Amino acid sequence: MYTFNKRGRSWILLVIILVLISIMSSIFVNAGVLGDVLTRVGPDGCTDGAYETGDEDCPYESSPAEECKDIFTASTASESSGVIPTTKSDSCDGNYYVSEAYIDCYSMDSTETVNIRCPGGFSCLYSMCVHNSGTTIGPQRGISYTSSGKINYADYITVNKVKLWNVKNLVLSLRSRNLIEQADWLTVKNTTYFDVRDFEVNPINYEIHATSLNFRGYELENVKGLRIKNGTDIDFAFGFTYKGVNFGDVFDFRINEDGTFDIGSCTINDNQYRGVENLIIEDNTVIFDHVASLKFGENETMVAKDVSGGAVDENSSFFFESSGEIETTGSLIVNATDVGFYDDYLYAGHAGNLVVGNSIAGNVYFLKTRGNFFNADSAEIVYTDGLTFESVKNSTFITDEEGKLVYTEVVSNANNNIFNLINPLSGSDEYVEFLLDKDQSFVMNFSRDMFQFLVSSNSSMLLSDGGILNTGFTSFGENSTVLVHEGYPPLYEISNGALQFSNERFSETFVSEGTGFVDVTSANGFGCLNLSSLGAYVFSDKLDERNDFVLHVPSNVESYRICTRKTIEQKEIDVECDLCGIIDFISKDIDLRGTIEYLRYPRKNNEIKALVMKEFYMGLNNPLARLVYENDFNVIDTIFLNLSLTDTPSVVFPNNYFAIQEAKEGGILHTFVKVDSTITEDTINDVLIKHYENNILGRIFIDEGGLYYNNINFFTPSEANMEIMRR
Amino acid sequence: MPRKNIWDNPFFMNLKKGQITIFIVLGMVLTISFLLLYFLSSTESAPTVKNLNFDSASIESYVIECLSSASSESLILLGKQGGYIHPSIYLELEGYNVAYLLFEGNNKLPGEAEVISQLSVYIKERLSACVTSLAEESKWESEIGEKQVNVVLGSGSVGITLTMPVRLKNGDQEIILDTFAVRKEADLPSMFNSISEIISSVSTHDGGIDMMMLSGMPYEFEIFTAKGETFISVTDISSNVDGKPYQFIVLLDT
Repeated sequence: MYTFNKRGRSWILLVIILVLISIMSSIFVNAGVLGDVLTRVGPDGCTDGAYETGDEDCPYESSPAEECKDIFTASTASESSGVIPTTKSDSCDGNYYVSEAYIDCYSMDSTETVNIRCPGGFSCLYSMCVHNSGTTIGPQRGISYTSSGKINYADYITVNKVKLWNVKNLVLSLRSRNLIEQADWLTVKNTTYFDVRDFEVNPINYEIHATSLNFRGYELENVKGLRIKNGTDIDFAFGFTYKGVNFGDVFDFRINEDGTFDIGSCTINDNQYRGVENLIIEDNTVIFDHVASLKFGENETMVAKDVSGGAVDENSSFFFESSGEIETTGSLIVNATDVGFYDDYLYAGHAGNLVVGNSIAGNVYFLKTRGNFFNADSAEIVYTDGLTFESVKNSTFITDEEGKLVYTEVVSNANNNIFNLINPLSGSDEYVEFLLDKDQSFVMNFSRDMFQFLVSSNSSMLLSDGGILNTGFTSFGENSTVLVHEGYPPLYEISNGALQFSNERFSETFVSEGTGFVDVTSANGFGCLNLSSLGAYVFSDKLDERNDFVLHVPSNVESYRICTRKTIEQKEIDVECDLCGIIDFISKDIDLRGTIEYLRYPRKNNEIKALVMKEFYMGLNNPLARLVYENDFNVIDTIFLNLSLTDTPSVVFPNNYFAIQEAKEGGILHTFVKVDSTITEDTINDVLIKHYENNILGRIFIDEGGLYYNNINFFTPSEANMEIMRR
Repeated sequence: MPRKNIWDNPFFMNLKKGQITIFIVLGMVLTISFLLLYFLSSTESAPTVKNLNFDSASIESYVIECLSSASSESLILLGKQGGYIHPSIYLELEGYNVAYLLFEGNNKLPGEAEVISQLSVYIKERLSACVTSLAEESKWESEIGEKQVNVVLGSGSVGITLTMPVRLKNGDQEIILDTFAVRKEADLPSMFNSISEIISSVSTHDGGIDMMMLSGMPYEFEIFTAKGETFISVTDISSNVDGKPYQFIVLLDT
């Protein structure tokens, strides 16, 4: 039996301890507890007690028994197969050589060192080859590189702690750390990128930045913050450029099987897209199937929602097949189709509703709008500035910032088209109500200082002052217009139509075959009128229509001016013209100078006989006539003719039987009386005048029995006249 | 203000019923008397042969009265019928065949010779009965020769001369008369001139009657229409034919 002395027992105990340590070390290594720092070498023949710290894997060493000569990591080779374990660490041997420690496993495991020159562009630093930019390759496998430092291939490398797999033709940048200047392809977190330039990967969140890369067949440029989420969705936190189009802040980017993009949100050319489906880029134009919302410009000058079938070019001009809503500064288009925007105008083939400022249009076709302007080929209805237009066609509206209508051109064609116009003319508080009959149409042009209505068919309109309908317009067919000029009172310009003023006492009608003017106030009606050829002024007394009269301009007169005086406060008007007249409703007389016709209703037994007025007075060439009425405008007391002028013919028809005519005869004015011998006692009308007077002949007396002047008596038809024969 | 009844006048209210009746009867008598006098004085009654005395003055007066009556009748008829006794283009009105003096634009006013001729013939015709009556109804032996009427339209009057040999015998008394003359105060030449001017003016002015022209003429004009035509009654108030101002009717085809 062996016995050990104390020293011998100590040696035995030491050996046991070393064996236990060796066993424990093997256990730890095999268990991977030191995986990061200890590389178990095998299956190259090295014993399990050989390992390297720092080297991750060296399966493709030139010789499997010499492991691990990884010059891109600073490692320590250790072996413990012998009684005395040995350890050697990498170190730099000058600037370009690394003294690489490795395990020689050919026979007995041993640690050795070998001097290896770093690749071109690399220097030995911190016991390993480090790129001159400071970028470290880190643990790698299967790396092959050229003498210039270009990495031809690597199963993986670890660039600044980010493991890049399947690297090919990778060039590290000298410009900055962590920058891969170019690579044919590389894989980051199972995603392969081809043809990368200036490629960077954030080691923490793996966001990728690259000047360019090919990603799933798409060549992207200026890639900033690319991050793969959930294997499919991608964020480009700072965007990218694709086919010349700048994408910014791209989130939830997904490439579909058909090659289109779905994007949760992004900015393209400063336009913010949300919920993009099937987007493609063609010719710098963004084309998509659908976008949930699209905000244009940094200031979001226009917002489109629920857009389908869209295309937006680099100038933000666009076309949408449809859009649930498009809102611009001051305007809103709802449920629009065939929407376009170019040259700063927004267009739509159709819109369910259009809101421009305070204007609203419904069921609008072919609209065009910008700012407070809009135009439509047609609209079912338009509300603007208190107006309602129905069945509008080819119309334009412009309002100011307060929603006041400043210009409009309206064509309306509707049944019972009624709208109210708050008269926007400054200084006027009138408003205008237009009533169009069935199938009538009109064009309304309105600008700051005038508004115009062009009526394209026979129709009538009424303009109201708020309660009583007091001004109406009746068109005479094509090119019939009402044009109101700003001023107080407003000046109405009438072409081919009739303007009627009406209050509880009387109505006045201004008839213009050509173009005429009349100023109108709601209190007194017509002020002064400029009648064109064939134009007429019609006065109608609502209390007694026998008082009605008409002043008519004959065809041979280009224009005739008539002024009215209706209040005592209104000063009397002087006649200082060749073709003008004054109707003084206060003093109840009418002065008429020049060629003009005055008409009255024919009467029988003091009742109106026919609704067609007949000529009472015809100034044929520059006479000055004064009609002085009795107490009202019923019977004319006297018509006085100033015949001092050189050539002043005129005709007065006291009734349908008599005609008194002034005519020049041999240089002298003569008064002729003519009777209509076809008139009988039954058909004769009442006389409307009591005296006919001129400054040459004097006064002629007229009554129902006849006309009397000195030795001349004209008798109206009567059986009593036969007494003349019986004498 | 309510209108007052005439019987409310105090004059009437103070009268008794009988007095009022007397006034009414008196008024009627006066009116009838006035009318009788008027008609008796205005009609030139034909002379009666039976009351004639066989003396030259009476016989001459009788013939002159016949001539005067016929002349007045002729002149009046001529005036009423627009210068024609037997117009060819005329319009009947109140028993007169009024001639168109303006017809289709033409002045149809007869000339002086034609007027004279018409008057002469018509006076001669109208005298026949009167003269025949003298021969047949008188108890005297009579011998009346051929009648010849001569009319002169003078300034201010119309002179009518009848040349008719008349021999009457009553026993041994014999009256021989040959020429008779009357004068009617009617200035036909002036009137015709004026009317001619009027017609011309009316024609020129499309039926218009010149007030200045007419007012400058010494006539009274009454213009009236009947049967679709225009009539101008021209009355020379200074004339006297058969006790009345001479009236000339102008019918215009207007």
